[in-house]
Amino acid sequence: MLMTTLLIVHGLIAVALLGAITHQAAAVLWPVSGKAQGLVRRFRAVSSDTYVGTVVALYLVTMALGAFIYTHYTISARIALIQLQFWKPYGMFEIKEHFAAIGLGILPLYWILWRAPSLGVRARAVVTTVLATIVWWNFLVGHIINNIRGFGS
Amino acid sequence: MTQSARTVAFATAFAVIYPILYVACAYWNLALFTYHPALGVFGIGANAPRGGPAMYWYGWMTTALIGAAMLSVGWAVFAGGSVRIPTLVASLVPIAAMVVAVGLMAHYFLH
Repeated sequence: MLMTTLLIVHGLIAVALLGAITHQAAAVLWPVSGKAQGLVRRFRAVSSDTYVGTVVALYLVTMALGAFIYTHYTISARIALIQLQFWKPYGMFEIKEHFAAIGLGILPLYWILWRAPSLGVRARAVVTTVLATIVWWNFLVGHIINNIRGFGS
Repeated sequence: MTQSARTVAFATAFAVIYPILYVACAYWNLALFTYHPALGVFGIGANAPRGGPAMYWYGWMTTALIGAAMLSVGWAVFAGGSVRIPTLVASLVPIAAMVVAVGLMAHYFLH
């Protein structure tokens, strides 16, 4: 019950992180000039720098919860994936594990580049895109694995 | 807002060193510790599985974090003021590490 609750909380926080980093990536890769009208333009027209602290905090909390739940996954769902020989989803989760760890390492640079844009606008766009890619991959793979063999199944 | 040169030097060096160390730790299994979830116990270094699967991921990250933090602090203190790592280069290294990580897992997709 505890792990199921934590998994749901992990998923909810991941949704918030996904929204924040996607807004920011869209704004930095596809900036709006002039007045923002329409849903897509307004989505891109957010004040990106206000998301930085939120993204870092949500990434750390999401990862900490995921790292805790990971122990339960290893002795339950992971064994089932091996027994069922679901190698592609298994490999996708292994990539998720590595991406999450690599993402942790770029948070200081992400923070600095958003606090001091003069250090590199292109680097800021690259780091934000990398972080968004990691968050999207991990979110989708987490859902796929849960759909295959979620808690309580 | 301006950042001090040493903080910038640390962040850029960390973004370069940590992903390389992490991938190396995952490839050569250089885990500082191992967690055995079936027993709920930790072991120092990379242990063989006990009572179920062994978890090295925490150990890989810890090894890479400590190593990268020490090297980055050293870089920031001794070289950060005079030699600057371009931020664009620092931002590309994690991508290379991600590509290597995917490559290490490629065998799961070739079944």
